[in-house]
Amino acid sequence: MSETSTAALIHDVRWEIDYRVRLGRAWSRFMRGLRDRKLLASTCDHCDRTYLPPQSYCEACYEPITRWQECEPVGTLRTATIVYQGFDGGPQAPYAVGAIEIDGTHSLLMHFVGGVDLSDVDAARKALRGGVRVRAVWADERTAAITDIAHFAVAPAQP
Amino acid sequence: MRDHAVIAGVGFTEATSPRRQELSKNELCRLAVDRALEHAGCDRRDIDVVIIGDIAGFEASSVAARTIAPALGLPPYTTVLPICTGGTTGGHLPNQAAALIRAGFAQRVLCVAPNTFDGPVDLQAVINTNSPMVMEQPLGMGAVHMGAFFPAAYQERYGVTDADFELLATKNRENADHNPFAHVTSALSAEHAARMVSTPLRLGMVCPVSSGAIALVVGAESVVGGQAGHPVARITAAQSISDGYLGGKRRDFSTFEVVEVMARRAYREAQVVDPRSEFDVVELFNPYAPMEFMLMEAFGLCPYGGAPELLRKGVTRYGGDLPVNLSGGIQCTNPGVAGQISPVAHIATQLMGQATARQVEGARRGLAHSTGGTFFQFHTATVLERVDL
Ligand SMILES: [Zn+2]
Repeated sequence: MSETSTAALIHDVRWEIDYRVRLGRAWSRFMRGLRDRKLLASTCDHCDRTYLPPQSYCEACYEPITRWQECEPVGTLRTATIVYQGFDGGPQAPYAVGAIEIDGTHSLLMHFVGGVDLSDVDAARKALRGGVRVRAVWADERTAAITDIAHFAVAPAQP
Repeated sequence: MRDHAVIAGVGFTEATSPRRQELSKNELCRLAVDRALEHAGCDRRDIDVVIIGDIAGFEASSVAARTIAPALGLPPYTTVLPICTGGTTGGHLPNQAAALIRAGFAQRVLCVAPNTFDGPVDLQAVINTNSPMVMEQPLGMGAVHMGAFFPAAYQERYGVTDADFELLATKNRENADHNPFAHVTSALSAEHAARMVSTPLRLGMVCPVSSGAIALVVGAESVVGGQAGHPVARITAAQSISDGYLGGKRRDFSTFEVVEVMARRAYREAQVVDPRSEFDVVELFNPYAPMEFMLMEAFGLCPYGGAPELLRKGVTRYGGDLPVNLSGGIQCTNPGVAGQISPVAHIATQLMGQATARQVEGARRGLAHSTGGTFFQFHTATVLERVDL
């Protein structure tokens, strides 16, 4: 006779499933632009809002968007977080992620922020305050993905 | 005749860490349901509709309602409504129940909020599927990192210090000490709590992964109100709102702009004129402690940037005139969909005079909020009022 236990009995269940995601026209054009070191935004014909990431319709007035423009890959950091505890399969911590307003756009682009020493938390938090200017650093190998930008580097302080 | 919707019964199970949970999902939900039905003085055969919450991808099988519904002992003709909005599913359950009852479609609705976070071996891997794929997911943002953007911006805009956030997190853990259904309490070591996860969030400000279930009986006031044998909680406002999907759609992370809009709608519906003086008790969804400050402000409970001062003055503590998260909040207990419904469940028991945590004497009106999804895409608000029948 086996002993009766009330401890939890747990079985592993595993599904191994891969997915394919079609990016659509606007995001495909955007990602292929990144491969060519071009940052492409789209501007609403109706209300002049400029979207980056671009989109093929305007969220504000729901008009279709046909105007595209290349942006200088510079902008202003609005908010950032410095990650000291990442996750399995993610980048090696510490790293910083920010919300960046590319000049001339009306949306925020989320991306890695680099060029700051993260070993000292307090100094790094001061360096990554809102308002800091940043510029895209292109990845050497580009595959038409958001990571074709390696990160946005904080511009060195003006003398 | 249109009838009010009231919460007549609340059933909690104890929250534990997932590895200590001995009950299956069905057993746990049945336990919560049995307690809610008993509390409401309601027979399970009288239930018209059961609404069961779910979060896609969080179960080993899709749509948990398929397995849970048959395990509840309900009549075979009971309507089963699964709800899955991802984050904030739980907040939608009582609101949808109220909609069905007010419309005259149902008289007794059972809301089941299962333990949703204890299935995945690596919860973080599943939560990462919540991050906007293709555009933002490859950028090292898990749930906590997405959550960190808000307090980072809030802190910078209003000059709120790390110490203010830590004081808030400590207040909530002390509240949890008095809640038998809480998971993390002030037993959490200071060293553990101080560990930086993603600036400005430290481990003590971040919710645990909990296992537990909550059920509610929501009914037509004229039908169930007199059966409970205790005061019931009338739902006087049930609102929801959504924000953009990409994080970059927020534009300004220092406020929850959409919550301000939702609050105005809820206050109009419930005829609340001055929320600061008219609410006796408030539960705001705070998987990351600093959100409590930001939500208090978006709900108009104080001016923008003014919430830390209310905490320091003791206004939002037990004994203050606007106690917030007396349950300890989500920061201390987060069992997924059960966590999302818990603000409503805790406010309901406060108004019944049967608080799970410390009771606010004579509490008559309360506010419950829930949120979730990518960069807090979805929010719900429920205003509740005590009814003596
Ligand atoms: Zn437009």
